[in-house]
Amino acid sequence: MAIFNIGKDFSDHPIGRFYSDGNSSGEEFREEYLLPRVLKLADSEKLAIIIDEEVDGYGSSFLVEGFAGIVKYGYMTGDELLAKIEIHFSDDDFKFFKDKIESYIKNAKFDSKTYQSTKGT
Amino acid sequence: MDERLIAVLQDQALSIDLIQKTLEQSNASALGQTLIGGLITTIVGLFIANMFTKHVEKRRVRQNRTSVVCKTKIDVVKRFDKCCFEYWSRDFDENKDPELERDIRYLHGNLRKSLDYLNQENPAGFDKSVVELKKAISVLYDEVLGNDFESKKRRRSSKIIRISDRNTHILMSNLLHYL
Repeated sequence: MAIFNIGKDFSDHPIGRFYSDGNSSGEEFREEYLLPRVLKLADSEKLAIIIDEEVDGYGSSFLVEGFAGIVKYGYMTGDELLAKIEIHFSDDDFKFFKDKIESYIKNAKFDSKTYQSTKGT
Repeated sequence: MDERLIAVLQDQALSIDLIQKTLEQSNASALGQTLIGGLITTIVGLFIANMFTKHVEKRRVRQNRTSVVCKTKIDVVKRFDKCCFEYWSRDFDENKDPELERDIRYLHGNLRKSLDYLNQENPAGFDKSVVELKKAISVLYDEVLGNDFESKKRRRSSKIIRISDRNTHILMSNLLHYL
């Protein structure tokens, strides 16, 4: 199983929705970190995502853009994405964020929006 | 089991032993059986009374603790509501206030933890209130800490202020339930 530790491999302060909001945004997370890792997985392989190390918390716009964006922009369906990832945490407070991530992915409408990068805007 | 109870049980055991020896000598087995039966009943009664007292005391301590925690959380809800109002009632471009953003995040985290506390303290007793609190905290997260909360451009939003106001009332009424 591949492991992706958000706090160590991405940022200890994930914040904002788009590139245009600043560093460590949900869009950056999705496009440059999460999506490439998920697409690289073998058929039955899963990506273990550690959400609570070195991170204090997440805003809802970051999580929606970072996770549900994969479904919204048509990269894969919610079920496909949920089958590919496993959210891990040891701090109980992060169960809230795990539930939120799963709920955003489930509720996202597949391929409902065309992606236009905000990088450099 | 406390020391007093152990001492009583030991005394009772010695008494039973003594009576048995006396009875063996006097061959008064019927009277002996009656006496032993009475003693055993007394011991069991004492044991149950002791357990019940401890249970009641433990429950009282837990309720007091929950009440103190909920009083504190009510203050957190008031502060959260005040911060949300301040944050969402002005345009973002001119008045970026990272400290206020941090406060809102912190206060929401504090409220989330109160749910963990209530669940751990009494998982069976407060189901309905915990469910309502959980729902309100979740809605506040999506609405108040979502939308354009972390974006560089944001316009004031009376819609979000209303959502915050409605849900903070739900939080308050459910927390008051524990006082």
